[in-house]
Amino acid sequence: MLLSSRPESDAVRNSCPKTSADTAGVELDFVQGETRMVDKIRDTLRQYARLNRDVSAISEDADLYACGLTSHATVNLMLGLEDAFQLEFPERMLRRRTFETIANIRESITELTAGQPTGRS
Amino acid sequence: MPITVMNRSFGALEKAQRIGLEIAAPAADAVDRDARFPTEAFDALRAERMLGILIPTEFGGGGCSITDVSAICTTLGQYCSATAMIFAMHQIQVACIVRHARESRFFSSYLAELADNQSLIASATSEIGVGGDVRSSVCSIENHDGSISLRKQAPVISYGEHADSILATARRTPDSPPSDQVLVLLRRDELKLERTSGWDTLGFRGTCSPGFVLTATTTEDHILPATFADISSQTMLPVSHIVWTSLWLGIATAAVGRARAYIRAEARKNPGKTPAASVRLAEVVSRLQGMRALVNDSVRGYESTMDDADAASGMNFAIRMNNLKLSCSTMVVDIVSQAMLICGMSGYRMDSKFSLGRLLRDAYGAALMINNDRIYSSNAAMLLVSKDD
Repeated sequence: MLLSSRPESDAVRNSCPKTSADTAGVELDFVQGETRMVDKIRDTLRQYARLNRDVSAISEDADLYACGLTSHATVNLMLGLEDAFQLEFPERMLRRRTFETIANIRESITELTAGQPTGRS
Repeated sequence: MPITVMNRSFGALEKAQRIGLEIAAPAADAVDRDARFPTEAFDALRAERMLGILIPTEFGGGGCSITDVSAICTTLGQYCSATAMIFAMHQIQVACIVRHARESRFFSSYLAELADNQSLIASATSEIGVGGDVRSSVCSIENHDGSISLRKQAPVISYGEHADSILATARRTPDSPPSDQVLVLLRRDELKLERTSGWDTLGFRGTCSPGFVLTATTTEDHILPATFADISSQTMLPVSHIVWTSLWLGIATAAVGRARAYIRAEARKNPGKTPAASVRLAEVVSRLQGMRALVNDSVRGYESTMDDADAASGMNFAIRMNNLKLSCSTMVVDIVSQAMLICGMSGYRMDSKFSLGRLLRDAYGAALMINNDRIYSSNAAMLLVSKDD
């Protein structure tokens, strides 16, 4: 509880340049939905997150804060995501961890849009 | 006098009260005038083992809570603002280590050593080139096979020349972005300080906070295992705001105490006639009560949130702790100014027992240490997305 659950520095450094996670073997519709969502998250990151490297080259599990995401940019990223996916992040999700990785953002959005089509296309 | 409920404080508040009254208060004017370190107060605090009160008993510390530390800062703040501020800043550093590094082998032995030696820890978080943003660093850790080095241009390091260790922020690696920071402990014999400016200020003169170029070489186990982002949001920021506002409450309490004594003296001179300024006294006492309530409520809020890492890094909590600092930094100036109106020329004089000059000068520092405008901007940004009040 007291210690950070973030990966070690080496893991962060190594994971940043990797490309998107391999999604083979999962049901096709689901995969396409997920991919669309991740693409849209990447677009929003590109627009608002002011990262210090190419967003396409950041893996879904890479620590975005280690890629240059600041607290201030996080607010703009949230606003951008709320607009792109037409949703509101509830207070319980306004945590550093929610926006720590693309995968975490995807999970939060999936939870918020459960039972609905994944945002506007 | 604000007495907060004490749990495991082994009479620490009583000790602080005695040290404040008997040792810090008589030296306070000289500490202020000469802008010198309050040596006698810290010798006494060390002798009473007060520098280790926040360290858990398993490491040989006092096992006190932040609630206890808050009450002690208020007590010391009534007698000597510089002593209270240095004590408060030291406890912030201890809190960061206790809450984010105690499980590491190096830091667990360091905590035991700290409790034993009563070492004083300073902080080097601000840096030239980041515009006052402590969540941003220019300097970085350079790691050569486990041996690390650091060079930092610090615009201020409070009591840097009097500390036994310094906790400094730096980028994790030379390739890391400015916001990817770590906190590293540098001992006196591992660092060099080259002074780059003086410390001739309006108030808090005894904190001795000039600028330095800090260079250090140590080993990588001196880096706190948690990221600075977590340490900052969960501990450094809330604890800073709590201990600072607690000691400002001490300054406000002292000012109201002088105003009260002045009115009483006036009333005695003319029995049967209520002094004109007694209505102002009634007003300022009510404001002081409001300030005390805010500090105590925020301490309770911190104590009930601190073990929930998620909530403690949340926006609501950050806004709440920022508001504590914003409100109290204004309240302390307001309360001391009101006290000045009550005491009149006796408060304005430097040589009277009702003198309020030093307290007013110290009070003006509150809005500037982490500038209120920066904190308001940060809250304004968070309020764009935060939903709860």
